[in-house]
Amino acid sequence: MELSKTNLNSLSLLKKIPKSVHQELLSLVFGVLLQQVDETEIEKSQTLKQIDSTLLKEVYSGLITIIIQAIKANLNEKSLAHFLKDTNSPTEFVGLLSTAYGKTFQKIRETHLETTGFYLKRLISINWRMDYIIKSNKIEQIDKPVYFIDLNLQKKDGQIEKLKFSCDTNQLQDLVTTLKDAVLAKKTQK
Amino acid sequence: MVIIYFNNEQKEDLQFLQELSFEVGSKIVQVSIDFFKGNYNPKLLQNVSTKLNLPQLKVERCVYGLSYLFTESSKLSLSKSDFLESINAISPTKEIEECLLESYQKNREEMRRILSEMSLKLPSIDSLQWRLDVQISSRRTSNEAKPVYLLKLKTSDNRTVWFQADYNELESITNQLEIALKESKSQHYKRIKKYIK
Repeated sequence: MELSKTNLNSLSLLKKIPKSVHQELLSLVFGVLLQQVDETEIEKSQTLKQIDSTLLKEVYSGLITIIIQAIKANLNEKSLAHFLKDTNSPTEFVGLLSTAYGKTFQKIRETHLETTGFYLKRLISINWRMDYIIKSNKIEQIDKPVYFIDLNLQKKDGQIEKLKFSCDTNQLQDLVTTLKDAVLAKKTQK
Repeated sequence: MVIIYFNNEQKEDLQFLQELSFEVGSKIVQVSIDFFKGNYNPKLLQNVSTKLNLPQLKVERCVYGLSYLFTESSKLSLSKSDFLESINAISPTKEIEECLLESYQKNREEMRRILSEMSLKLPSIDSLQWRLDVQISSRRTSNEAKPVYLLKLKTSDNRTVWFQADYNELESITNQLEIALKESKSQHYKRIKKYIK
């Protein structure tokens, strides 16, 4: 994993930040990566106000870069910790960072990186089931058929994701018509 | 023959309607219909009770009782005779009886629609959009012409899923779904439908 000198340097700058603030900084960094927290929260934070803002900016951008590069390179928790040990950063912080990284790695990869890449999930197979609705606890005498459709999609790493939805007869008819058009489009082209 | 059963509390609350004039009674019925459709406004109840010079608690409980009546009767899809038989338990005046029946018949379909929205269900499909592309080259291969379908599926819980499929897969799922659709016209389905009715 290649990192610029300034990024690596930012980790050693952590020594200038009091330990009590480390956890807060980490939660904000991961919050931003998971898109749960806006970057402006960092300026608003009371605990982080005590730190010199240039120092804070350097450390923050260094952390974000390191985490994203690590996810890109598919490093697991241990490899990341190993890599960080060589960079002169406080050991306690390395522990906190690797643990948080291990927990959120999959989610950040899915929300951020896979959507900006160009591998889409592939449709593999379909399962369907037809039921006849008689009644529910809210309403009786429904007497309508319903279809449950299960699409199997395969992601890049081979994992299968199931996409489930229901539809009534009219919606299924529309769906079949749309798909038939799609299939016909290819036939008329070739 | 299906009737709604009222417990003693509800009977008491609804018998309050007897003490009222027809105009007042029908206003309260109207309020409970609106209540059911989702326009619940506690201030409105307050205004109605002060305008009609009635104790607010009694009006409120009467409205709840009426909502129960309309919910159950729509849920069970009561026929006219069953509905009249059910409200006999609270012995309304002839005019109130007609007013209740009319409100029920007028609003039944809409109330059933609201009830089915509230029922248990999986997210349903909103739309499926597709696009046919030809993959010309990629990092590992070049000078090929592979047709690729790009699909976007939207479901009613506001989820949008993008995925791709090749021609064979798309053809096979289209066939599968056509078979599914044919099931709704099959003998077996018609038999079940008849038996359940």
